[in-house]
Amino acid sequence: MQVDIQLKDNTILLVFLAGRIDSYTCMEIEEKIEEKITPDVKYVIFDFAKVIYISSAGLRVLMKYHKLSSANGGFMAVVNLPDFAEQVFELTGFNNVIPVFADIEAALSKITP
Amino acid sequence: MEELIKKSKLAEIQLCPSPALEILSAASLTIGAETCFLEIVGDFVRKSAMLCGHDEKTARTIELAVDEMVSNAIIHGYKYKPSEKVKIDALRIQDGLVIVLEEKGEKFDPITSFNPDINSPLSDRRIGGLGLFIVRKIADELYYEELPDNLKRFTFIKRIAVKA
Repeated sequence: MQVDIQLKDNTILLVFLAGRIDSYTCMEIEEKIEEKITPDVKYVIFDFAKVIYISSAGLRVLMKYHKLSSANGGFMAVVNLPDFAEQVFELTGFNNVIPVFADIEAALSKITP
Repeated sequence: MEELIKKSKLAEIQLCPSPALEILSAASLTIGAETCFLEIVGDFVRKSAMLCGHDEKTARTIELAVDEMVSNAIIHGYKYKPSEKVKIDALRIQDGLVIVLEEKGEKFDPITSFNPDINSPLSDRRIGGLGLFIVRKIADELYYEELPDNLKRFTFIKRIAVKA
């Protein structure tokens, strides 16, 4: 599992994930996010371009940051959703509640200054 | 796959042994109760599903369902005890795949387990509970038995969809 995180303008957290997101790797993802996140973060954007697998453990992590960013007046989004992750989102109904954008630029364009 | 996704009906969990099945071939994997083995379990299950005639997309959903069952056993059943074991059998039957999962962790009742409302706002949802929902959504048949010596057996059947 590879996790790369960038803090942008102090309010946007970009999370680039590569590999499997399951009950094992989700702990590392959460730890790395917690190292970088600040109370000023309002937007969390997960880039799934290199994600090959996601289970409900991964959805739980998304749910956590969805709640956190909503509470801070922002939003959480997922971009570059691969086919399998899209199937899991549809299967669980996540596609009805989590904003999904084609790419990071599309997600950033929804952020109001 | 689209048919699977749109299938709103959840498989009912039967609290009994599975009916007698004609097993054509079988493979088995036993892991310690540690989540680091989930990738190996996933590869084993996905490849077994494809050898049983499932297409790759369906095989990946079966991988997901078994991951959820094994994760539950490790996390909730055993509370991460690497010395304990989870056994996964992949059985080929005429029209698909049977996964038999055996473990000796804490008892749980799948019937009363939380069944999330997937249309409710995400922020209102309880953490957890989603795994078993995914299993029931993907399975065609599910059986749960409690055996002597605290052994619990979960049987998951996924038949090959017949094209209309």
